[in-house]
Amino acid sequence: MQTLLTVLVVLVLLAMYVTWTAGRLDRQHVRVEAGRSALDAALVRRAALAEELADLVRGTAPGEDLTAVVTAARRARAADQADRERAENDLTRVLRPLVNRLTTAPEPHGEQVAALLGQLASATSRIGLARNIANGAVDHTLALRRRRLVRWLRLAGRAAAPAYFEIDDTSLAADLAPSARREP
Amino acid sequence: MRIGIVCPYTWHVPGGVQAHIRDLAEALIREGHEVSVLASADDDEPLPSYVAPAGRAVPVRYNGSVARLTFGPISNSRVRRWLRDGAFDVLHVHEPAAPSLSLLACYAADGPIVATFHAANPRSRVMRVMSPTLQPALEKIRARIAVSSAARRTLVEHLGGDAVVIPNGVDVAAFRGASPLPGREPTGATLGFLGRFDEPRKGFTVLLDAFTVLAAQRDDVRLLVAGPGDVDDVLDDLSADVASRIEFLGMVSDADKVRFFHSIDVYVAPNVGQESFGVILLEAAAAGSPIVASDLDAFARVLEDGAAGELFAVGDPAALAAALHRVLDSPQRRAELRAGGDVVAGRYDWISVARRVLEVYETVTAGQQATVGEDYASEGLLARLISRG
Repeated sequence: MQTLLTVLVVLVLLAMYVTWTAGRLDRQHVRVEAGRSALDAALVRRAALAEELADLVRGTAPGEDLTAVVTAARRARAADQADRERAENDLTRVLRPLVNRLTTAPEPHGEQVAALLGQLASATSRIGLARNIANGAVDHTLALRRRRLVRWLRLAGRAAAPAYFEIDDTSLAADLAPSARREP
Repeated sequence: MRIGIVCPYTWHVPGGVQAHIRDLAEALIREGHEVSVLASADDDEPLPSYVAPAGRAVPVRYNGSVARLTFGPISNSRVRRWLRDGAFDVLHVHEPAAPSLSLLACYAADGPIVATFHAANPRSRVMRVMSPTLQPALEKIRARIAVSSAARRTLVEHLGGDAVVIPNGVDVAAFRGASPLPGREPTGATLGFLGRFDEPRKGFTVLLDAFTVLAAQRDDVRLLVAGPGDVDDVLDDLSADVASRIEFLGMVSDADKVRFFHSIDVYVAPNVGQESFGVILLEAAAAGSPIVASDLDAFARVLEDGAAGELFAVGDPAALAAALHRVLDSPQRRAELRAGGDVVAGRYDWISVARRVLEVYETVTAGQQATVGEDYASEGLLARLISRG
């Protein structure tokens, strides 16, 4: 009788623990999703601003070749998950010379360009923040998924293991630092 | 945005974390947000309208000092009620790695949670030992903020993961335009030091050695010292001439601290180590005092490598004396330092800091309609039986 009771108690406790762990894992997957969507929004905003900046500069300085920026921005927005990091890095690479030229130019480029650079600076710093947050969620999720109980009982179900998102967002942020200061 | 902030320590006890939360909450309110701060405090204490009391705290040793903490079933039910009533868009807990209201809130809540880590302690045994039991609560935190890179390093080493560094702010307006302390107008060569001067890491002895050198060369230098410590210990080692030019004010109130900065011509920060973030430098800069500071990493960063303060080799009295000569001899350099200080103080004004914290809130709540709810799984079987019984 007593052994039966002990076994029952152990089983109930185990079931509670498993349910609780599954709940934790589920929450982490939700967190990863939320992190991803915030990061996605920040990246889309940067691409949109990059295109806008290219259009504006083309208007004031005709003849300048800005097709690379426009193409990279469009590609970044259309890229699928597997290609996203490379597309975003490509955009950074073509955007940097333009930004550098605008921020170090001796003649002022007008208020519109300055305002757009300020917005681009804040969008870029948002990407860094969102990436930090999204990767933090990936960290915790992977740590939980590695646990024996989770692996043996397949608590993660069919949810794919989340991946870190690594792009270079600091170099552009540094280029844009003078513009960020001007933004109120 | 509806923001719920949890303060782990007793509200009315003066402390860095409490001051940080007060200033942040008030800046967020000025920006037009709804803020409620849950803090341990007695129900009958006078509190600002945005503070909700969570009951009395008990003293616990943590991180080398005695912290007054609130923990237990009664606090737990108050946390849960506050979460239910608040329906916050984001929950912001402070110092959640200590057993406190903040940790309780992490267990109790579900949804967008942000945490700020303040402690910079390279060898926190408490944090290391507690780490595995804290994990279920800490993994709910969507974004982590550290107030300094030292705090971030502590966090990364003990708990893993990363954090965004958003430093403390200063209430710039509060430091501007005050009058000097009565009878203590700046003389043109009055140096100032603020802090516990018998604490070795504050480097007061470095300043004393430099001041002794300086006093032999200049008739006009004075030193004004604000902060607690044993005055006789200091004066015993000094010549009568040097001693007569030093004045000790003892502990000063917040209002007198502001006036102190307006009674001096140069603020000196001779610290020799373990300074995670130079809040005092920002306060001096906000008050418009030219700064001479040791070149600790944290100081050099805040002072932008010398743009907002004259830096000297840490622990070197001769270098400090030379730096003081440079600054005292040149009104132009003092004006430069004041202008640089103004820019830095503006960057760390609470409004700018609060906007950066808001960016974090916006990032964790992006695209979500849900508010912070309760995590019923963590409520505990017993508590559930009692509360629903």
